[in-house]
Amino acid sequence: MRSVRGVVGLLVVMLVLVSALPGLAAAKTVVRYSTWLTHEEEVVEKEIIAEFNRLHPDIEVQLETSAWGDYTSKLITQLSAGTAPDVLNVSELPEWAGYGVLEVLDPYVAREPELLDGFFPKVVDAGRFDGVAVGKGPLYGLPINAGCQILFYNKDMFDKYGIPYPDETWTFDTLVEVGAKFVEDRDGDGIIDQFGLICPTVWGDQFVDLIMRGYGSTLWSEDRKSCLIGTKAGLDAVQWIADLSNKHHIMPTFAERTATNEQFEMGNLAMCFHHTYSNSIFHKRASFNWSIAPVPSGPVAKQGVPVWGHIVAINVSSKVKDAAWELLKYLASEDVQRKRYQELRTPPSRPAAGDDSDFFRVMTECINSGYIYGGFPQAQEAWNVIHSYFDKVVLANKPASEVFTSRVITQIDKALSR
Amino acid sequence: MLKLKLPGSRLERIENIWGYIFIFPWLFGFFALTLYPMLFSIRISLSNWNILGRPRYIGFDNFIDLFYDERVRTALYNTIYMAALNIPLCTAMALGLALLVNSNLKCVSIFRTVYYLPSVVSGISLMMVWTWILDPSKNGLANMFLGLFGLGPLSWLKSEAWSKPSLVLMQMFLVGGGMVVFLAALKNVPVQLYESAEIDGASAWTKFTKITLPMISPTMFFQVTMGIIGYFQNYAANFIMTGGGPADSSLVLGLLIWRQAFEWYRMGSAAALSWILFGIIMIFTIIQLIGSRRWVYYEAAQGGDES
Repeated sequence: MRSVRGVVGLLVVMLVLVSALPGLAAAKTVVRYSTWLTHEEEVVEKEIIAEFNRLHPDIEVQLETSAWGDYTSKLITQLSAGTAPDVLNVSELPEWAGYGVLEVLDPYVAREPELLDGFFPKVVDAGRFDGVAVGKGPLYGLPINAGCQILFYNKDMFDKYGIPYPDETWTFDTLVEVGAKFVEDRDGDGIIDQFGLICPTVWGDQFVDLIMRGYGSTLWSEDRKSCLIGTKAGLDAVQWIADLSNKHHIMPTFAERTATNEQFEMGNLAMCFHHTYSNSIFHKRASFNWSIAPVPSGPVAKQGVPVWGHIVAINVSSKVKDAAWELLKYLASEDVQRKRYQELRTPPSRPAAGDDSDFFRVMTECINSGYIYGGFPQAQEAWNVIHSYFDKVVLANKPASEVFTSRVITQIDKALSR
Repeated sequence: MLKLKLPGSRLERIENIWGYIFIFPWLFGFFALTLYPMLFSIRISLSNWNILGRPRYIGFDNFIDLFYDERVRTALYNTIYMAALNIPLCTAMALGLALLVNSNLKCVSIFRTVYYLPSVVSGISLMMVWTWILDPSKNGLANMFLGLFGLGPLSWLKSEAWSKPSLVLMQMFLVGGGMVVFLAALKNVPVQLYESAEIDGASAWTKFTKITLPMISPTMFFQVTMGIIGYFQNYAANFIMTGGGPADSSLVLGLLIWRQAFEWYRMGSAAALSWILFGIIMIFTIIQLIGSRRWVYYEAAQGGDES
């Protein structure tokens, strides 16, 4: 009986010791950091976090990762339930900042005024939101990379056809004229398998806004209360995009296209509008020489390109905001961004973390001459309405003016008013 | 012994307590994870709520707004269209396969396994495979097959006209579960009935329509009812394979609810649309129940007369 009591006593002592261990570990400040990553990115990000933990013995960062497709719905559920991590990679800045779940960083920056010096200024401003649109107002995050819309082109294909590479003198008309020279039925089966150009698979609002700027307007009004796609500039822009497939046939139709990236990687496209993040994909997969050029200018204005960056922010409900701020600064630091750029080819938001490649030089020029798109919370729903009618212009080959009627514009504006 | 069976006896009380203990996990799950969210969603449906803030009561505005929303009408039309195409075809396919594998061939278990296999594979993987099969380019497997006969290529998922039939076509290959249920029902049809019919000189078709179908009609009723309930709520394939497009041609109610909640931050509207969907499913189920009196044969209900 005594031996039984002894064993039980020993077990109790062990249990108390084991339960005390987390308490001992709790001497460190735990910071939860949530982001979306591919497998390859996760390997690098874990190394970055391990280094941060080594440099900050009093802080322990716990990395929580998701696939891109699940990230936003998971995070907004966590934010709603009050269980969201301390540091967030922000997938929807206007919504999250607008609904008050992100910490305003200006007081933190005020303590270290030189902190923002080394970034592309426009990319930093893409982390601001003034309650109407992104680009102005309080700062909600630090950019851990940078991006802009760009024209990728297959250098080998241009060389083969003896056509000069695209440059800043190109216009929308040049694009159509040159693109037509690459259209080819390679295997002679009556079906075209090489095209001049492709636009993003999903017609993004940023892309349509970009083309509209070339025609002298923007997609949304300044106060974000109405959509301008029904104006002459808007209809001209929509028609220009649709005509690339339906009239000029330099761009594959919906039926002829696979994923945008895939078709370019396979060497079936001369040019491809895409964001600079595709750099990492093409770097890894494309078996030909490629480069980038500025997006050509529109007939009315030299519009530039939309600029943005992925930002990391602090959850307003975090109990460890100072430690979270340390992590934010580290994730956006020059060394960490250089590591991501060298290992993953993710374009950095600090010019000093880049290199002297053509890619980085052209991207830097485009970012410096670009603009901040200025997203806002109602844009997603309004864009969803536009998108479905946009499909009709392309699929049914109807004139944009017949599709985007006043009834449709009212429907879009109603979505904006919600 | 008789005393022990009296109501309120100690043993009975103990048994009752144990009964409640055993069903407690289910009861807890039902109240906490089903009933409470359902009741809460009524409150949400009467509120303007962006998920991240506090709900604000707005009465029936969400329902009124949905009534005038063109996308709701589009999604409702698409949902009914796809259900009307899917449920008869998939039920017929499941029954057809069950009839085929309900034979005494030596290798029939292999066929049963093969036909059931797609049902145990992850749905997402299958959808990715089918996205490739239905690729609209000439490299898509379906178009390659059509090409052998000089047909196509079809635009499949990228066409307003073909997106819905394409999704239904894919779902027709996922009827393994239904096949197993029908197979179990077929195994329960008494062999004597077929023997009697054969003696009377009945053809195979007559045996199928006069014996098999009536005898498995409760199973058929179950499959169709559950199919309608499940299909009206289902949106995974539309979400992954078409995103509801092109031009909203495959936008269904489930997908619209998801978008309202998690893309447009309008949880109130999503909850209201969920209750409208609930009402629609309820109406279809009641119609089914009323209609079933005409065509469903319950052996137990008439067994007394026949024995």
